[in-house]
Amino acid sequence: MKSKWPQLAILRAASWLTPLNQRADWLQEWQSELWYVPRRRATEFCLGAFRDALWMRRNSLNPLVRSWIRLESPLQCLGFLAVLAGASTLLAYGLPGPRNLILPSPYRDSGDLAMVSLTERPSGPAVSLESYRFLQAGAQHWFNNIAYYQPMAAWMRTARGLVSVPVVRASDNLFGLLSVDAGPARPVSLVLSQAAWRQYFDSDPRVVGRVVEVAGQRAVVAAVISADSWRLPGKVEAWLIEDAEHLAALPESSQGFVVAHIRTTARPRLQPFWHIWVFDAEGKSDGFYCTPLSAGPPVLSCLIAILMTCILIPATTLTLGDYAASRRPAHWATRPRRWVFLAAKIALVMPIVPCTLVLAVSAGLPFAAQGLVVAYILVFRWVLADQRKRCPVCLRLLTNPVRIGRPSKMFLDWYGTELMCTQGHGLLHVPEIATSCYATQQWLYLDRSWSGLFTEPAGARHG
Amino acid sequence: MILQAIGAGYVYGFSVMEVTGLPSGTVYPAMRRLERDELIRSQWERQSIADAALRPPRKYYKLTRAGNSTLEAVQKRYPLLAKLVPTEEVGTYEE
Repeated sequence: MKSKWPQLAILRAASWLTPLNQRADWLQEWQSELWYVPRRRATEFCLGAFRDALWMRRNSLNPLVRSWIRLESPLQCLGFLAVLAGASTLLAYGLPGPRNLILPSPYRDSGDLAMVSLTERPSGPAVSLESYRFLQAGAQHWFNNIAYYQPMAAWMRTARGLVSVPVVRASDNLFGLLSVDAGPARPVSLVLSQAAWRQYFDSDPRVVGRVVEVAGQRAVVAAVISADSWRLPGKVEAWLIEDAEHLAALPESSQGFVVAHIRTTARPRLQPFWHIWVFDAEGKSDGFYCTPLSAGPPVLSCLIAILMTCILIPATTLTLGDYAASRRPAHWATRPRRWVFLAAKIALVMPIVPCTLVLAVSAGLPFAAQGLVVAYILVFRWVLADQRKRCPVCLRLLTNPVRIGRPSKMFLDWYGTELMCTQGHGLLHVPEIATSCYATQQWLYLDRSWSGLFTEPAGARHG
Repeated sequence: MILQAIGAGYVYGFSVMEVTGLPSGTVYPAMRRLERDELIRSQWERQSIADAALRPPRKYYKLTRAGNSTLEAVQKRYPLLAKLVPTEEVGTYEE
């Protein structure tokens, strides 16, 4: 036995899959059997233990738990989808990052606003003040207006003393470009977010007009704006607005963001970003990338994705199969139930896809617009595949798949699989090779003479 | 086939594997299903017997009454099944 230690290690690893109360007995049996196995076959023998251990694990579950995991009944399936849809929607609307991606832009001309950068996908503030001035001088035919802002942590003297606050130092045209009302223009002014106003100024209604010391400067509080008014990169609680004279005091190499209002005639349509060349009066040139702030209304994107999915799904050859008419007259209410169930599943998966993708995007995962179509295709295919595996009468998942036919009869393979409804409503024949008699899956209703075979409660036993 | 093998006297997992030619990943789960369906039952060999034979104790399987009747019914339906599995000459199962 000592020389079989790799095989014993395999058995021990497999034993972790078995239920705790049966593990010792299971391991003892396999170790005992290994004693008889020739060394050359020992590894192959032990690898089979994983299948046995998995069988033990699956069959040790309570039938009710197993039924929930398999989403066996239609109510379990709809309940699971409803919980998933509710959770993904709540998360997407509850977290600030994803919510900004879903809700329409607060900026009036969001379709004409773009972030300007030196690279395709900048990871942070990467445009120097010198480049901003270069853009101001040479990009008038591209942009109506260009603003600069620089996120930083600054000390601010508040009612609670000196606190460090995430602040944006911005050119004085920033809020005008965004069409956000930020009070009258001053050489140096401070705009507070509602959160900062509540936290640092105790929601003082007379804060506007007060002089506050921020980043070593004295600024007049010009306005308090809602957090939803800021959708540009950078976490901010206050904005220090400076005129050109104050901004000029900053070093030329100061890194920040540039946001621009594009001339309507200058914007190429249907592009996620585009490259421009800017020339100044002295003939110097530099290249910049423009990324629009809004790719279009999210609802419209979803509708387009759903439309494309509806066109593409039939091309994937997934049909619902043939369901012959039952000889038993069904109650009128049971006939449309299958279609109502299908429609309910589709309605519930509709919000899951965009909300989950928005959460993924806000978590930093790369995602293209085509991903929405692919995700909808996969989800709709699951909906159809799930529908195919359910009894048309009780809508429970079919169980006990049995491969039928003789392997030698049809291209050395089994020619079909049959599944049954545990309630005894019928059998589903799924051909593995399309033939003239069975091109697609077919349902066979069982009459009352079969009822004696289906006495056990559904979900009580699965192979 | 596994039921037939156990009925024929191949009463522990590896011997069933040997006589049926099926892999371990098929034989052991199948025997667990048969035991769950009460067609066979299992029992560990006494330690003293295993010690005397200088080997680890075996877990033996035996047909139950329901297993015997099922096997008889299956043999009537598939008469060739009995010829696929030769009868073991020496039975080793001990109560």
